[in-house]
Amino acid sequence: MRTWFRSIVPAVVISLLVGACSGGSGGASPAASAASAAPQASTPASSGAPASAGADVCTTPNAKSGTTLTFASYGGVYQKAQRQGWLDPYSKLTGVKFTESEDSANATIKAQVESGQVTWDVVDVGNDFGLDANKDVLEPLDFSLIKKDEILDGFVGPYRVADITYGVVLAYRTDKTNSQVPNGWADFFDLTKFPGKRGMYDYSAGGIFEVALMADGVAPKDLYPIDTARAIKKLDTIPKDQWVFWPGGAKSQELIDSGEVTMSLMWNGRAWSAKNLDSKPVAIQWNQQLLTADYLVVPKGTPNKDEAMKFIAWATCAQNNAAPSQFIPYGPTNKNSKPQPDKVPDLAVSNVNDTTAYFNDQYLVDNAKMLDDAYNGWKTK
Amino acid sequence: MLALGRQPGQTGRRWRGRSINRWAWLAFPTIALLVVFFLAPLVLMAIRSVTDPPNAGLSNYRTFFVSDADVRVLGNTFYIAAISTVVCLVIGYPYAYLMHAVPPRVAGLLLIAVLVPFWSSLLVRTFAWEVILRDTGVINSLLISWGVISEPLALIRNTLGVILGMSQILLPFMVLPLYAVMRRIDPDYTQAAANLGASPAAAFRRVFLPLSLPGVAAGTLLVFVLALGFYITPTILGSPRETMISRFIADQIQQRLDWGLGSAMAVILMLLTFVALALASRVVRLRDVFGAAEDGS
Amino acid sequence: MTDSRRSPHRLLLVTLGGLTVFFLTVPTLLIVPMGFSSSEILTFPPPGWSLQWYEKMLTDPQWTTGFVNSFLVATVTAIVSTILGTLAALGMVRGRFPGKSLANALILSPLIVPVIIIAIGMFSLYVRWKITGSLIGLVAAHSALAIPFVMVSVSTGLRTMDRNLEMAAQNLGAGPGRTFTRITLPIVLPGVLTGALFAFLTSWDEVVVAIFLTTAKFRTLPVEMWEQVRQVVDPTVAAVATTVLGVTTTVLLLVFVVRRQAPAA
Repeated sequence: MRTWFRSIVPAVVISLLVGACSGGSGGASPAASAASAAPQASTPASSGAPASAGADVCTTPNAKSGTTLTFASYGGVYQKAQRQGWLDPYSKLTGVKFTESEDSANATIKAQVESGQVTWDVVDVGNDFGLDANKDVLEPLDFSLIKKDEILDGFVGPYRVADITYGVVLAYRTDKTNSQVPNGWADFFDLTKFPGKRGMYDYSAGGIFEVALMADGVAPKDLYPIDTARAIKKLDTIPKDQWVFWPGGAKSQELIDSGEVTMSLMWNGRAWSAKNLDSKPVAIQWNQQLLTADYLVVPKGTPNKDEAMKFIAWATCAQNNAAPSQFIPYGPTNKNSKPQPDKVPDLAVSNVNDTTAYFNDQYLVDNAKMLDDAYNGWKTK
Repeated sequence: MLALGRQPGQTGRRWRGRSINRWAWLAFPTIALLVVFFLAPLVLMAIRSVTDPPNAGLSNYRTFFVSDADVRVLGNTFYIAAISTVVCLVIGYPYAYLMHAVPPRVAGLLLIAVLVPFWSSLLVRTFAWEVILRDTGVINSLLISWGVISEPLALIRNTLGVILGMSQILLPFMVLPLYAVMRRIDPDYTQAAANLGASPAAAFRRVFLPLSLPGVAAGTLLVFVLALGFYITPTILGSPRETMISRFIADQIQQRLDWGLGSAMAVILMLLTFVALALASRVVRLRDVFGAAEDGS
Repeated sequence: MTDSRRSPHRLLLVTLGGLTVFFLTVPTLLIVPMGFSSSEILTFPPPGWSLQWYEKMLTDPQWTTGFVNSFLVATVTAIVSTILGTLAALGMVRGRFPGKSLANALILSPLIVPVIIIAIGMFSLYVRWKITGSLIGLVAAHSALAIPFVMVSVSTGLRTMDRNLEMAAQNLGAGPGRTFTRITLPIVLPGVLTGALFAFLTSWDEVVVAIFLTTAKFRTLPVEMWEQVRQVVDPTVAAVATTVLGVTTTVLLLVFVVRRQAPAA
C-alpha cells in the first residue's frame, strides 16, 4: 500500500503534462475559453450583409438561403410544435435549413462554448438561463432586428428573448377530488380536503418554494426574496411519503395519467396533454399560476450568429410568434400576437388574473446555491 | 500490494540486475492509454476543484461541508452503502456456503445463477425493479387483484426499494470472493474437527467460519466501495431521502454547471473510497478482491 | 462434505439458496413478458400478447440507431481493450520494471473508482479534446473500464501456463514471434476470448459514462433507455431491455462455451 501511494506522485505529474498539452490548465476560466472561441465569430457567414432597409424581419427576412442553422430544444411534442410553427415555415420562406437537437441543456451550451466547438446556433432554454450570469457563453442579441418593445414586459434581456410562455399550474384528477374544485395552492396542501399524493417538480427553482408561500398566504408580488424557512414549514405539512417528485414533464404527465398522484404542480402543456391527448380526467386550476417562459439564446462563437439573430427576430414577430400554439398550448410572448381563437382558453397568457405570479429569474439565479441547499436540505431530511 | 504478477526474479532471470526487462515494454501502451484517457481526467478534475472559480482554493470544499444537505447526502450514501453491504453478506454467505457444500455440478449451476446477473445490465435490472415495485407494478397489482390489499404498498421511492435493487446488483460481488476463499478451505479441517467430536455447528463456528473470514472481509469491502458510487439505482428506485452523493455530483455538473463544487464533491467521494480501501487493505489482501472475478469465471 | 448432514440446517440452507437464485434472476426476467404486452401501459400480467412494441422498437430510429451505436462502440471497445489488455497482461505477469505495482494499481483502478467520478472527469477533459459525442471518445472511455477485465482474464492463463513449452519451442529453433503465435497465444487464447467478451459486455451495458460522453447525435442504447426510464416507461422500454438482456445472455453463453473448451480453465 505504501509503495502504491508513494508511486502515485510520478503518475500525477505525467497526467499533469498530458493536461497541459490539452490546452490550458484544469481551471481555464470560461472567459479565457470564450476569448479563444471569439475569432470564429468572424467567419464568412457572419460577414453577410446586415438587414437591408427594404427587408422586413417579419415578412421578408433577409436570410441567406442555403444556410443551415442548428436548433436545439427540448424534444417531444414541444419541439414538434416549434418545428411546425416556426422552423418549417421559415425554411419555406427563406431557404434556410434546420438541423435539430432535442436535448437542450445549459450544461451543453457551456461545454460547447468552453471547448470552442459550438454546434448549436439557436437554443431554447428555460427561465433559469440567459441572464448576465451566463454572458460568457452567449452572444448579445441583435435588437436592431428583434422587436424588443413588442415582447411582454420582463420577458426579454440582453442575451435572451422569450419565445413561448407557459404556466406552472396546479393540475388535479377530477375523479379523485369528490367533485370539489381546488381553488389554489392552499388546497394543494390540504390533505384532509383532498387526500392523495402530490406531484412536484424536482428542482429548487421550479416553483416549489413559490407555491408553498402562496399556499401560506403570501401575495404573488411579495414572493421575493423567498422566505425559505416559511416555505419549508409549509412544505412539511405534507408528509414525505405523500410527495412524488418528477424530473421532467413527461414523468409528470405519466404520474397524473396513472392516477398515482391526485394533484401535481405541472406545466400547463403537460396537463393539457393528459386531458386532451391521453383522455384522462384532469383539470387545471389557473389561479395562482406562475407565468413563465422559455427563451431563445445564441451560444457565443457560433459561425451562424447573424442568421440565428434573423431567425429569432422572425420567430418573435407578432404575426409568427403564436404559431406553435396551434399544436401545443404554449403561448406567444409578443404582445401583439394573436393565437387562434379556439386555442386561447388553454394558454397561460389568456388566464392571467390578479392571482397570477411571476418568477423572479434574476433572484433565482443569484440565490441558486442558497435555494438548492434549502431545497435539498428539506427533501433529503 | 496490488501486484498480480510474479515476484521479480522468478522470471526474466537473464536480466537480473537490470531494473527492466523486455516483457515490460508490452505493458506500456496500455499504461499510456490509461494515463491519458483515465488518470489525466481524474487529476484535472482534482485541480478544477480548487481552481474553478479562479482562486477558489478550498472554498468549494468549505461550501460542501457547511451545507447541511450536502453533508446529509454524504451520510445517506454511507448509510445506504452499509445496509446494502449487510444485506448482501446475510444473503451471500449462506449462498456461497451452499456452493461450497454441494457437488461441483450443482455448484456450477449456482455459479451461473450469480454470474449471469453479474454481467447483465444494471440499468435493465433497475428498470425491472421499478416495474415490479411501483404502485401500479407487478407486486401491487397482483396483491390488489387477489384482494389482499386495497391500497398499493409503498415498495418504491423509499429505502426498501433502493436496498432491494442495490443488494441484488451487488450480491455477486459478495458471493464471488466468499466462494473463492471457501473453495480454498481444506475440507480435512472441518472433518478433523468432526472426528474430534465437534458438532457440525461447532465445527462450522470454530473452524470453517474463521477460515472464511478473509472472504467476508474481501466481499464486504468490495460491495461497500462499489455501493458508495451508485447513481442509477437510487435515482430510479429511491425518494429524495435516498439521494446518494453521485446524484448530487451529476446534478452540480448538469443542472448547476458548477464544475468547481461538482469536482470537489467527486474528490471527496474518491478520497473516501481510497480511505475505505486503505483501511481495509490492512485486513484484506486486495488481490483476493480483484482475483474474485477471475476465480469465479 | 460426506458427513451425514441431512439435517434441518441443510434444508434451510437449500431453501435459502433457492430463494437467492430466485432473487437474482426472476425479477429481471419479469420484464420479458412485459415487452410482449398488448397493453399501452406496463401492467402485469399482460392482458394479451402483441409484437407491437418490438415493431415500434425496430421502426423507431431513436432505438435502432442507439442499438447500432451501442454495438459499434462495444465491438471496437472489445477489439481495443483485448489487444491492450493482453499486452498489459504479458507485460505485468512477465515484465519487471520500476513502479510495476503502481502500474498494476492504475490498470485495475477503473474497477474501483466510482463511475460518476470517471464520467465527469472524462467529460471535462474530452470536451476540450473535442471527442465527446464521438465514437473515439466513448471507445477510449469504455476501453479504460474494460481493460482490467481482459488483463485479469488473460493473466490467469499466463500465470498457470508451463513456460517450459516456450523454452522447448525456442530450443527447437522457433523465434520469439513464432513461439508466441504457436505456443503462448493458443494457450492463453481462452483467456483472451473471455476477456474480449467481457470487454464487449462492459461497454454494451455501460450507462453512466455514456450519459456524459454522448450527445443527441450519437447516443447509445443504455442512454436512450435511461432517458426513457426516468420519464415514461411504456412497454417499448421493456422490449428494449429484453433485447439488451438477450445480447448479454448470448455473449455469456459464448463465454461458457469458450471456458468449457479451455484446456485448464
